[in-house]
Amino acid sequence: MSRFPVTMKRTISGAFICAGLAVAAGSAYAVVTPFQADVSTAIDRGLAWMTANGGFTGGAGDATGLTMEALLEKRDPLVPLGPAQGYLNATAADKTSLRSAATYILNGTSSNGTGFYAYRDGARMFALTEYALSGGPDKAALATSVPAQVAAITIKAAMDNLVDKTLAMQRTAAGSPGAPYFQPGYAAAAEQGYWCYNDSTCKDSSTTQFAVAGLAAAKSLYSSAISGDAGPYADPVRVGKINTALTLAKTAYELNAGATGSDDTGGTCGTGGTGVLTATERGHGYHPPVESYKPSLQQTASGVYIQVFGGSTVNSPMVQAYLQWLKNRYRYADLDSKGNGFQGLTWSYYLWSSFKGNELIRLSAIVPLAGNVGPDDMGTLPAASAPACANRQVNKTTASLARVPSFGAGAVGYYSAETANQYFDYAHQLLAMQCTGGSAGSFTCTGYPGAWDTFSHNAYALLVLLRATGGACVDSDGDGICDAVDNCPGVFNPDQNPAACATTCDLDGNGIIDRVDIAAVVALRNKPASANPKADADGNGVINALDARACTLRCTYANCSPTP
Amino acid sequence: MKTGILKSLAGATAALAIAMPAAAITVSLSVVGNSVSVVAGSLGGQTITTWDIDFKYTTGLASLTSMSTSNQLGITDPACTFAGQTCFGAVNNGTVVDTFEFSLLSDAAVDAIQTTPTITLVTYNFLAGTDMTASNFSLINFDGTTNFLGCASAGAINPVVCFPGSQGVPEPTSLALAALALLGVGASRRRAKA
Repeated sequence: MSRFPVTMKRTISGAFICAGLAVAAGSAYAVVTPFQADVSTAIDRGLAWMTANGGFTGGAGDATGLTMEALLEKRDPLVPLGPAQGYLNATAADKTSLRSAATYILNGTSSNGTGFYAYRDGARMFALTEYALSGGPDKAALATSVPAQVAAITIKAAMDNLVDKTLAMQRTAAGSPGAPYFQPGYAAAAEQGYWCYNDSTCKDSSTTQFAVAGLAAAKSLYSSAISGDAGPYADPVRVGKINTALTLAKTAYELNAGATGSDDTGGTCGTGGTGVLTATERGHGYHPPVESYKPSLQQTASGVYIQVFGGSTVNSPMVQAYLQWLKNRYRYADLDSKGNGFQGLTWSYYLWSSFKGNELIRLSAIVPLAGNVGPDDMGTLPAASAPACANRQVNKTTASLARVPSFGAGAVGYYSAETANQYFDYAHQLLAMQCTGGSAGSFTCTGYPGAWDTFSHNAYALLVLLRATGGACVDSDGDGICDAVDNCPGVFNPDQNPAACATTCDLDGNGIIDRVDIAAVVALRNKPASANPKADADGNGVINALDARACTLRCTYANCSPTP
Repeated sequence: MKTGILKSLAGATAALAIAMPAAAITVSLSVVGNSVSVVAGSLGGQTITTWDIDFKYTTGLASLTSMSTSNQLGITDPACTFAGQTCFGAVNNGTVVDTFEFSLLSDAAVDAIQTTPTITLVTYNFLAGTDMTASNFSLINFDGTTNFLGCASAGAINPVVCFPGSQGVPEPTSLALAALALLGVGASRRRAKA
């Protein structure tokens, strides 16, 4: 007999959470696992730490884009795989924090003028984009909000400023010869595509990843149909320039990836301490190899999403080369021996960038071809198996873990409902290091490897827990509509005509009916068919468990897997 | 006279039975110790692949401690991770548990599991000392839309509601046949009077 406990409160242990105590009759029903419940608690604690420490009111300084992004990405704890709350669906308190953070960024952008800083401005672009796209108030409404916020410029003005100076600071053939940027040109293709902290004077991938992420998000805003105080955000000219910049960055990474090897030359990976594992893998360092920087986990991980933003898919050769490199060196505990001397400082943004790259691939609706490495292959290779790598880690065994003590009592097996994968490894690692007591909610305690900055570190941790991709636009089917808002991201339908993609049970419109679709049908249980006609498989006007069963029988692949 | 009426009533019953699809599945509660099971009977060869049940209890929020199944739709997966063979979910508001399960197996695979005409779908387990008087427990809202048993439908991919059966909403054909039978009752009475 199969037996499992029933949870009587939202946070009490159990094989599932009976959400009814917190959900009004008729609301979406969700099955939340004990681990998901603890993750939600950790997120709440982390955001509470930010609030208490002024993270949304200027205390985070240049990291405000990151803290604001984390708050925008917050999910309904009862629907942890559901959409981010954004602005309109946030609580009143969260809305107040978001308005404050947005005002801080608008005013900072205004006062910075033409001054560029890739880390700061990249984060500002993706936070402002997600804020605006989700209904965040612009300058005029901020002024009449309670409490009133006085913004110096509109969202459109700030975004144009951020985008234009980011574009101007990229290394290009022509450079930016005119005022106000005066950046030189770089004739050789391998010299182009990067950014360098505050300008274009070096080929630095750690700052390039932020510039690219910000531009990819801005593309969403400029591709949208919404308006702010200054009129529509739609801007085909800037979208075109962003596409050019993203393609240039992608090409630069392809031209500058290390042939083989890594910075881990201490003998733990590869034969004779060379760091070489296979002939087909390739990685990327903080700077290109010609500058004596060898590939690192952090920069190779962000290299994946730079490739994807530039138009590559999981099956593109360079993405495959990077994913092989990362799979061969998979590690979550720290970056020891794998980080060009900044191991402890860069660990948390490695976690987010490496998760984000894989998550974007999952969202793209394109599955790895047979024999190719996919985002779900990380952590599946034991350290001793070929190619051997002593400090490679394998996925945590979910059933062998007890509950993280700071979340309550729970014996070994408490998290056994989870599937072993990269997300669990990262999230469990983060939960274990979240502080209690004086720094409650900060992810800077047990096992904490260190960080550049506590606010950014905690924001990265939350963005991982929230499965955030930073509001970036990936257009997998090339129809000009970002995947996140495309009614069917796997089908080319620039007019968004649903007839092109309407498939019973394929709720995410990726052309595949899989467990993601089944979960979406379950989430709509006992709602009218109008909530999503594709979920009403038997066409009786009501979405119920029969439809979930009917869709299960229609799954594209065995066991409703997203891949063959 | 009495005989004639009884014959006519028998005819009405037969007419209704003919109009119903297959055998009528029964659903009942079985209280054993500190547990209450939902039992489906008279399956008559039908295969339950899906169910959605509102179980009402009046014994208090803290009394319900766990649930269990007999894996009759496949190995129950309470987290729906696709590591098991079903998706099970429950929402408990303190007096009613909205519980559902659907199989992830093929119709044939579920049919192979359900080898008896009576199966236990789900068991609600209560704290020791709970008042287990049967009247404290009931199944509510069996409307065939939000609460039902769903069975495999031969030749069709979509499962069909197999409980409640056609008793709840008679088909037009059933009504016509029942009317004919009642006419027979009237005729018998007239003949008796004559």
